[in-house]
Amino acid sequence: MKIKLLLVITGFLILAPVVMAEDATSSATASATPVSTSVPTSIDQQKSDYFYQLEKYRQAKQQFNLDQAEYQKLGTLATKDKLVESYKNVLLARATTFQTYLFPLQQLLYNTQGIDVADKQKALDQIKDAASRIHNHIQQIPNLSEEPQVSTEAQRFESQDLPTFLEASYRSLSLLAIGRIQSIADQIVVSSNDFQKEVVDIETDARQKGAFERGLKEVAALHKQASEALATAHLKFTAFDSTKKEDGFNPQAVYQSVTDSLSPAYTSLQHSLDYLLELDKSR
Amino acid sequence: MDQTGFTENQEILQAPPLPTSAMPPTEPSRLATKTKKKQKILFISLGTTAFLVILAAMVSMTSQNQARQVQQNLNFVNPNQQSTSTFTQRFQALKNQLDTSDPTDIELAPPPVDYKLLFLPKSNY
Repeated sequence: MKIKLLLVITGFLILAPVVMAEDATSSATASATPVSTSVPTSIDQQKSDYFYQLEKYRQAKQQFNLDQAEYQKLGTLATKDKLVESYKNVLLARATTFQTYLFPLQQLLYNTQGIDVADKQKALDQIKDAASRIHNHIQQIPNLSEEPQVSTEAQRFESQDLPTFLEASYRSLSLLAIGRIQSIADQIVVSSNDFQKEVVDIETDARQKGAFERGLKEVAALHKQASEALATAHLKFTAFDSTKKEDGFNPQAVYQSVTDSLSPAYTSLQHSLDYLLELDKSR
Repeated sequence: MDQTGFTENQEILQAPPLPTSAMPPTEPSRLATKTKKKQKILFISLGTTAFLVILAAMVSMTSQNQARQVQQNLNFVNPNQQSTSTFTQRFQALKNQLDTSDPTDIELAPPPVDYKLLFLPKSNY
């Protein structure tokens, strides 16, 4: 009886630390994880789904190329039927890839600060519109059986729905680029103001205070340059709405001009942060 | 001399030692069982002590990790309570954030797929 009791106690002693360690780890993780990290995890999952779909598309495309070659070689009814199925599969895989791409893009747009609310809403509405068009295309494909029908649907999607998808994508990417730089520029202003109040204003050594003030003036000048570059980028962004869509509108070119305009802002902010770090070290 | 008595004494002196059969037959096995029990108790006591030491070490490690976590949370740059961290940490955090926001790096470029898919290459039509 005593031995049994001792065995139970020993078992408890073995299990208790393991259970306690697991509890402690999970509670530590829970307390260390801010509520907002659940969203990045979700974006990671969405990105992973998108890359999986992209891989599926590549496989479908490979099969389509093989079936095309076979039909061209043999020209039989059986190889044609096979090619039609293969064509439908590749169209479906492509549409699903577009669909899964829009989810993380939408989520990133939701989470990014420093974007004008109206601009963000417009981009989100466009993503919704593009997603709805892609969904309709996905619903259509399985109902088509003859080659001309499938080809017509593919051409309709490419000419009518894909431009919306591309515009929504590049508009969102432009806003993400602007928003991220704008958000950091805003935070630098707040941080340098705090540095002024908490360090420079209370500095008793006149020489040190003078050095700090000169440094902060330099930071302000760099910030001004960044703000000007951001304003230019925003101006370039308006091309998404001002350009007539039928005039060979190229959303990728607009996105490129926005990111080109943002480059000087990025460099200025980098320099201003280097400056602030040096100032703080000189204390 | 009392011959008889002598003989008796001699018999007594030369009497063979008590046969082992005089011990109870269960005695050796009882002793062995007792020794085994003692050994068992000794091993269990040693095992228990070892587990207690491991337990103490694990509790100590867990509490150290928790303390480190609390310390990390205190150092975390909270936008609403930025004064809790040093300026170096704040500026460095912004620099790290900026590094991941390079406008020339597209985090999620549109899918690299064929934006035009024909049933057959154009030359076959």
